[in-house]
This record gives sequence, C-alpha cells and structure tokens, in this order.
Amino acid sequence: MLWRHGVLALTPTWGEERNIVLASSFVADALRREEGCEYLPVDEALRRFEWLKRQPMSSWKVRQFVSDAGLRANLWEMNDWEVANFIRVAIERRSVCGLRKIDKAGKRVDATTEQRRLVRNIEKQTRGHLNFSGRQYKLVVDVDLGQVPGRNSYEVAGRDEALRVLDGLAKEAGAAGDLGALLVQASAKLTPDWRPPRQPDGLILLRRIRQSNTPVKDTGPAITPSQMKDILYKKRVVSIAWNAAEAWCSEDATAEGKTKNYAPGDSVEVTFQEHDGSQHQTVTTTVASDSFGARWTVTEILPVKRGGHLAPDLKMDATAEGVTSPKPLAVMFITQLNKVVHVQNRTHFELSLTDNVVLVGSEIKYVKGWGGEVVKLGNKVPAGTGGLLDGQLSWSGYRWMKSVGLGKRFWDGTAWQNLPAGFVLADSNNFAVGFYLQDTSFTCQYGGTWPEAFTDWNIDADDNRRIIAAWTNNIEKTWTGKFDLKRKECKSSDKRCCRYSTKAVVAFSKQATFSTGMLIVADGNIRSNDSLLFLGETRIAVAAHEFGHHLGNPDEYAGAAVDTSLNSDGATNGIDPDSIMGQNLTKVKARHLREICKVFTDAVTGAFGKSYHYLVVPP
Amino acid sequence: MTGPAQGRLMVPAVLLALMSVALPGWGRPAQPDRGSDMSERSGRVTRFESVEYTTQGGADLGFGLHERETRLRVDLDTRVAFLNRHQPTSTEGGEAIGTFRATLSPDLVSRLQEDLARADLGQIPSGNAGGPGTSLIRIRALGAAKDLTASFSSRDMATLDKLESLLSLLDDTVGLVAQHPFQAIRLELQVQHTPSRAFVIKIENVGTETVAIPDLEMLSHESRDQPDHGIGVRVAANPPERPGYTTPPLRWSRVEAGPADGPHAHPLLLPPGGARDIYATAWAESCPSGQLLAQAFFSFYAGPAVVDGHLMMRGHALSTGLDLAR
Repeated sequence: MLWRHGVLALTPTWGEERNIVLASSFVADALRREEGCEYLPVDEALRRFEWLKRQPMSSWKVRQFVSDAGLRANLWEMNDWEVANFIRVAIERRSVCGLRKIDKAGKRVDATTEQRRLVRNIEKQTRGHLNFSGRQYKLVVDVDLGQVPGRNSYEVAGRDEALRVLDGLAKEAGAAGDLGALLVQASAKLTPDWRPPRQPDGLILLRRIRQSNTPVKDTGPAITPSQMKDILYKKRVVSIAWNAAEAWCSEDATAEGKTKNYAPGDSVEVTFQEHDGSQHQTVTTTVASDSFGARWTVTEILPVKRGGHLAPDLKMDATAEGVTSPKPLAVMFITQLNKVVHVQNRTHFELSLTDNVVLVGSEIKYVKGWGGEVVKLGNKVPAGTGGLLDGQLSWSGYRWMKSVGLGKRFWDGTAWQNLPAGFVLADSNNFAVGFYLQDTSFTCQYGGTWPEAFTDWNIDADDNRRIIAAWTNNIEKTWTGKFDLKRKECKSSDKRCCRYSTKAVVAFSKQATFSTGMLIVADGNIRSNDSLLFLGETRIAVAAHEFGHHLGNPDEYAGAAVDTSLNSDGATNGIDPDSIMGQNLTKVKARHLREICKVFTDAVTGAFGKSYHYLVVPP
Repeated sequence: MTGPAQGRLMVPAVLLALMSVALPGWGRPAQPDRGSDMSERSGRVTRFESVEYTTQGGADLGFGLHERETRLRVDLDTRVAFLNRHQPTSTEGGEAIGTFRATLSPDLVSRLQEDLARADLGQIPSGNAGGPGTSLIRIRALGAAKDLTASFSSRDMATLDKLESLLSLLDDTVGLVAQHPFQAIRLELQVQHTPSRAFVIKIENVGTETVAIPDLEMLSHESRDQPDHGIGVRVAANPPERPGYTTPPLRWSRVEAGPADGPHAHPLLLPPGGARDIYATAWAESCPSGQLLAQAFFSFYAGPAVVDGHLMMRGHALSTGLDLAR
C-alpha cells in the first residue's frame, strides 16, 4: 500500500486504484524512486483531488496532509476553502504531485549498467569533481537519481545546459587521457528533458545548488521521518562563515563553523571553492565543542579575468558538509596600479601595473640637432690664434672643428683652417658635441654657438623615422621580459603567483625647442654621447643603454661614474663589460631593475598599504 | 689539457710571447708603488723606465680587441717605442694599421721623462665620465721603484686639462711612431680606367715583417650589413661647400667587394711589400649621382691575434678618398 507519513490518499483505500496519492514534490520523488510510482498528469491529480474534496472528513485529511507534509505552517489562519485552493495551486505548480504506483518491469538493465559504468569512469577520471564555469556538476543514471547522496544539494540541469557543459568539459579535457571521449559518450546518452509524470530516460546532469545557511522564513520542503531522524541524530554542519571579509596572498583566513552531533576530535572537511570558478582547496580540521575553525593560508590562488582584465579580487566560499558560508571571502590581488612618475636626478620613468604586467615607460624627448666637434690644439697653433671657446664652454683650450669631405678644419675665430701640421687627432683631444637651433643661432649642448649655419635636414624623412623606430624597438626589446618582479613573502608554490612580468614602453617625442635633459638627434655619425645620438650610430644599443640610465642605472664602464659596490652577476667594482650598461652594451642584468623594483614596492605600499618586498627574478 | 680549451689558451699565450719579444719588458711583473716620490723631495728628478699609453673605446669586437684601441709603449732607457694601432685617428684615410716601431730622439724621451715626473700620475683621480662615445685612457709609468697608473675617460675634462702637456706629447709620439710600420697594412683605392670603372682595393704590407690577413673574398662575402666586419668601398655624395654653411655629413653607401686576385687562403700571409687586390664592381648603379667621394674600408676584428707566428691584421682601416664624378 502506497501510504506513508505526509501523503494524501486520493482513492478509496480499497480496490485496484487504491495506490494513488498526493505528495509534496520532495516525497513524491522518494516514492517514485522507492516505490516504483509514476506521476499523474496535473489535470488528473486535480480531478482526483476534487473527488476527494467531496468525500467525508476530507477537510480534516487535507489539513492533516498540509501539516504532515510541512507545506504550510499557518494553517490555523486559513479556512477550508483556502486550504483546498492552496492545494490546487500547489498541484498546478507541481510542488504537490499526484502519484500512482506501477509495476516496475526490469527494463533497460543493460543500458543502465552501461550508463553506470560510464558515470563511474568519468568520476574516476575527474576524481569526482565535475566543475565547469564555476559550477559543480554530477552525472547520474536516470534510475539512480533518487539515490544520489545529498540529492537536495543538486538540481537537474536541462538537456541544453547539460550538452553545453559536457561539450565544454570535453574540450577542456582535450586530448589528455580519454576523459574527453567519455564525456562525448555521456552527451549522447543524456536524457531528454522531462517533467513529471514522465520519467527521465538516460543520463542526468545535476547542478549543485549554491547553498546558504541563512535562515529561511519559509518552512521549506517536507521532511520525511528518515530526514527528521537525520536532523535529530546525524552529524551535520550547522553553519560556516569566514572570520574576515578579505585576505591577501599568504595571509591566513579562517572559516569558523558550528556542528551538530559531532564528537570532540571528529574531523570535518572544509572546501574553499572559488565562487563561480574552479579554483579550490580542501583542509581537514577537528571539531571541538561542536565548533571548528578551518585556517587557510591563502596560496595557489590566481586572479581571474573579469571584463577583459585580471580582477583585483576573487570570491572564495567555504563549504563543509554541503553548508556554504553566507558571505564569501574576498581574496585580494595586486593586478593593477595607477601610473606613478619617478623622477630623481637623471632617473625618470613612469611605472604602472596592468594585468600583472609592470609597464615601465619613458618619454624620450628629443630635438632635431646637428653634430659638430671641439678640438684642443694646444701649442700646435701659434699663440694668439683665435677661436678659443674659453668662457663659452666650461673647459679651456678648445675650438670648434668640422668635417669637410674627409678632412677636418678648425675655427680660428674668423675662418675655418686646416688642422696644423704635426697635430695628431686622438681621443684625448677632440670629441663630438651636439647643437640645436635656438632662434637663429646654433647652440651647443655644452654652451657656445656654432660660427656658421648648419645645412638644414629633414628629421621626419622616412629613413630617419625608421631609424628612430628601430631605436624604440631596440629599447623595448632589450628591456622587456628579461626579468620579473616577484613578491618575496609569497608562499605559493605556483611560480605565477604574486609575479609580475616587466615591459618597457618607450616613446620618442620630438620637441620644438631644446631644454635640459632632452636628447639631441643629429644626422651623420661622429661619436654619440649621453645626450647626443647620431642617426648613423652603428651601435643601436646605445639607445637602450641610455634608457638604462633613465631607469636609474649607472654606467658600468671603466672610467665612468660606476657604483663600486656592484660585485656580483658579472660586475667587479661596478664594472661589467657584458652588460647593457657596460662597454659592450649587451645584457640586462637583474640589478638593472633595482630602481623599478623599489618604485614598484613603494607604489604597492602607497596604493594598498601593504609593506611587501619584491625581488627581481628571471622569468 | 687537450682540445678546444687548450686552443683557447694558446692564443693569449702566443700573443704574450710575441709581445715579450717585440717589446722588451712587456711581460715584466708590475712593480709595486713604494710610496711617495722620495727622489723629488731629495731634489733628484724621478726617472721612469717605461711608459704605456693606451686608449680603448667601443665594444669588445673579438678576442679582447675593442672597436677603438691604440697602445703605445716606450722603453725610456732604450728609447724604443712600439705602437699597436687598430684604427685610423681620423676619417681622412691612408693611415696604416698594425704595429709600428721606432727609436725616439733623446730629446723626446727627455721631455717624456719630465712630463711624467710632473704629471704625478698616482694622484690622478679615477675617471667618472665614461660611457658610450668615450674612450678609456690609461697611462702607466714604470720605474725601478714606481708603478704609477692614471686611468680616466676621454671626457674627464679636469684630468685632460691637468695632463694636457703629457697627453699632447704622447699623442705626438703616437703620430711619430706611426710613420714607422713594423707589422702593418695600408689600404689603397683605385678606379680602373675601363668601361666598367671597377674599384680596385689594394691591401699592402707596408711593414718590415710578414703579416697575416683574412681571406678577402670571404671577408667581403660576410660583410653585408655588418659595420665591423668586411671589406669594400663606401661612396657618398660630396656636394661643394657653401660659404657660411656647414655641409651636411656624408651619407655613405656601401659597395661590396668581389673577387680577389691570387690564391685563396685563410689566413693569407703577406710578406713585406706584398699586396693583394680585390675588386668592387657595379658601384655606379648603387651610388648617388653628382660629385662623389669613395673610400675603401677594411674591418676585421674577429680573428686570433697571431697566426703561425705572424701578427693578424685586425681593426679598421680606410684608404684615402677618391673624388669621382658621375
């Protein structure tokens, strides 16, 4: 006989049709599963309910049913008509179902066995975690739907969703193992969508319901006696909640919970699960006095993209025995930093952080210029020879010198003269200087004016633009991706955590007038210096070297203003020939990002109040 | 030790051995500075036994040889000066590169001694103005009781000013010794008086010793787009001067060299007075029109310093310019 606590018989208790009842959807599902029942069509259930209403004692029976099934708590406020109407609406909404017991033939046994094997294999491959797009799923065979442990924690995913999920998971699995093939098989065996009284026919994909332990005013679904027993005696987690609103990488956060029926020393498994995501970790903690605290050191959690960018936070739920924290923990990340401008003496660059990439930028301002030379002739010219630049330049004994064809001439104050016989040009007695146009005169970068006009030239000619573009490219290529910044305190074993790659972004910006700190770009090729760059310079890395100065690095040349404390990574007393700052203009070394690291550290402190330390590490 | 490691060690060892032969006292251990100049206090003039003057700039382009590198050593007792120069002092061209050897006049040596004594090299501060576009200048004076070194950059203006007299004298000495090639080559550029007007680049051993040079055809073949490696001709438009205006810098186009006369070998040994020609053709098509200036170039830094006991010619040489018209 189809009778149990919380059902309403819709037929006489004798005859062939005695096993037709009304039950809450929750109980109906159990009856269908356990008793081999099938659902009645809604109209039949309504018709039979109307028949019942005409029977003696029906009002009392209906009230009893509503009460036993836990459908409504405030029955005493309702008259009989309202109670009956409540049931009619419930039937139409299928929160109350009509059921008829049927003989269960042993149909589809082979198919069921095969489907169960498939589900087992998938669970084995996924270790029971079928996660997709931040949701947890479970595959079950149709006949097993009612026996799913924690069935109330799941809801049935429609066929379309199920197909999409399994297809997505198959793609994620790719060619690794045969999980992809198993998931494709599962897709083919999915049940069509069904509604009671029809039965599912195939595999069902269940979607885990996000639970909250916030008390619900509604009485909720009906509770069976066995469930009541569980409630009274079964070990269960009553609540769980984070003790803080947010935590940063390598900080501790604790999920505190209350339990029922746990013995002291019992363990409870707490899962920290990304809200709407797949990152998760599990810890096992011990219960004492029906409470527990699961401490979690935030590690191995990486930021995810949101709106096209890495999000500054990520929500983590704490779940124990199906109970989830009402409010997630916000795991915070440093993924973005507004631009900071760093200027100190010769050092000047901008730094920002976008999607874990430290952008180091510098605008290299330049003016169109011309190259000339100065020469120290000493006693090779007669005393009284004019053209000395003493008072114009800060050094004495020099005169202007220029190239004419392949030869050199010096300015004697009134005319250009050939170099005196016997004079030997050497690195000790001449060098190139840059000029820029100021009003109508050509002014030297070190003072003084050129005694005649330079021939004009077009700095915007295609060839010249290409050279400046090549400098830009060389600087960016030289300084991008050579080292990362890594937070020293990060406890994650995942090397990607708290790690920032570096990218140089340089813009050569032509200026109309010269001012201190600007670069003079000149046609030809004599010898470039720190503020004079010739377009014909064959050592293109000179630009990357100068950018290194912008980043706060000293020269690593012998004879330069070196930092003698540098004695590692190829440097000896501050000199390293195999370095972009050294004579051979070669490699970027970790020490060359010191100032970037320092500015980044300060920027993090300023923006987030975190006193983190960062290291320059190879990528 | 055998194999490549041994080979690597042999090159500097051979070089050191050669330098020791060529330059008496070159391999002598440095004498420590034994304190202040006692001889000056006692009224005697400090005497040095030798002086070394080196200039080094640009990148290390191979086997420790920098883009710009000149080394002068004067034995002040024997007055023998030895110069190792790897590039010309100016773009004018025609200067030999290699080693040079001369005996200086007693007067010049005496002036060097005086200037060295006055320079007080031990008190020269270390340079701090180096960087791209500068050279490291080093002057080392060795005496029986002294080993003084001044090291500074070509932009350490205060030091240059303080050492002006000594530097001028040393540069004069370089110029003087450079007139006496020992193991050296010179480049010459000619134009054939044929319809093709091919360039002929002549490399001549102008020294007194056999020298080694790289296979010129191979060097030419490898030279494309490499500023520091190759042989060929560079050609530029050379517009006439305009009074009151500084002419724009020459914009060079390269004409790669082609076949070379004579046998192929790498390296090739050139006896004193020996020469090799290599041709550069089709220059007319790739060059600007009008008044032109052409100059042969030779750049080779990558080889070992010594081959079979003969000095390898390494560095950068330019021929004198040729005025051409198209």
